[in-house]
Amino acid sequence: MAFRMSEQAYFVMLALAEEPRHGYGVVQAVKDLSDDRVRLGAGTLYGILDRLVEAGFAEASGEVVVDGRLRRYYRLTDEGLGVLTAETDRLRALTRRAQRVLGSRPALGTA
Amino acid sequence: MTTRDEGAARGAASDPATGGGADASSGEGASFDRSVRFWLRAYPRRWRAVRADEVVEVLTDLAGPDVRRGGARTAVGLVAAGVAARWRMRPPTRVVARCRLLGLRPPAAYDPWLRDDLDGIFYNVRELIWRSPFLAVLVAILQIWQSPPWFVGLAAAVALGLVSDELTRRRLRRHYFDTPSEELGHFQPYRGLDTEPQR
Repeated sequence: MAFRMSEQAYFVMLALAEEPRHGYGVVQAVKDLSDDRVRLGAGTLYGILDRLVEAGFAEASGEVVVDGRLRRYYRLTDEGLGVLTAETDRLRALTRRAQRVLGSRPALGTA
Repeated sequence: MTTRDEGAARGAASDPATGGGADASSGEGASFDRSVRFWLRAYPRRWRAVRADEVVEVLTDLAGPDVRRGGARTAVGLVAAGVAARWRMRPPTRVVARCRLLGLRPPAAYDPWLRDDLDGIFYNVRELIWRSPFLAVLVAILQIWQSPPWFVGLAAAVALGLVSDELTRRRLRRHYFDTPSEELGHFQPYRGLDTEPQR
C-alpha cells in the first residue's frame, strides 16, 4: 500500500530527521516544529509510526529504560530521508507557485 | 565512539519529561495505567504485546502528574487508532474467507493474525457470522422438511455452528502449535543502544 503523506506524517518524519527520538520526544518536536499548531495524540502518533515502519521509511533504533520506564527510539531510514526531501521540494515548489499567484493579484481596493 | 543512538540515550537521561507524569507505582499511576490499557484493547493482541508498554509511557508523559484516567479524548483516539490498526493488519478477505468457511490454515505469513484470532474472545461468534448464510439455508431446509417451531430450527443451527467452530478452532490451534512461527514482526528483535547502528 502506498504511503499517504499527511501533514502530521510529514511533521513526524521531520522530527525523526533531526535525530532519533522516542514517542514523547516526537510529540514534543512536532509541537515545536508546527509552532504549537499540531498536537499529536498517542493513537495518531503510533498509527503514523506503524505506517512509516511498514513502508521502510523509519525503524526502531534501540530502547532504553530510564527510571523503570521504557523509551523506544525511532529514526528515519535513508529511504525515508529521500521521501522527506522529495516532499519538502514539492512543498517548496508549491509555495513558489502560490506566491506567484498571490503576487499577481491586484491590490485590494484597486479592482 | 559516539553513535546517534548513544546521543539519543543521553537525551533521554536528561529529558525533563522522564521525571514527570503519573508514577506507575503510585495510586494515580496504577489507575491511569489500567485505564489506558483498557482502551488499548482496541488494538490487536500482537500489536499490544510489542507496543502497549511504550504507548502507556507516552500517554503518562503527555498526561502529566496526578492524572488518574486517560480521559474521553484519549479513549476515543486509542479506539479509533486501534480499529484502524486492526483493519490495516488484517489478511486479505479471500484468506479470511478460506479460513472461516473451509477451515483452511492461512499461509504462514498470516500466523500472527491466526494466533490472535484463535486466542481472541468471541472466536466462535466471528465464525458463526461468516457461516450464517449456510446456517440460514440449513434452517430453511429443516423448516420445509419437518416444520418444527422456528426457534427449534434456529437453535439447532446455532448449536451445530458453535460445535463446528470449536472443532475448527481446536484443529487449527493444534496445527498452529505443532508448527510455531519464526516470524518476529516489524519491531523485533531490537538492537541495544551500545551496538553500532546499521544504516
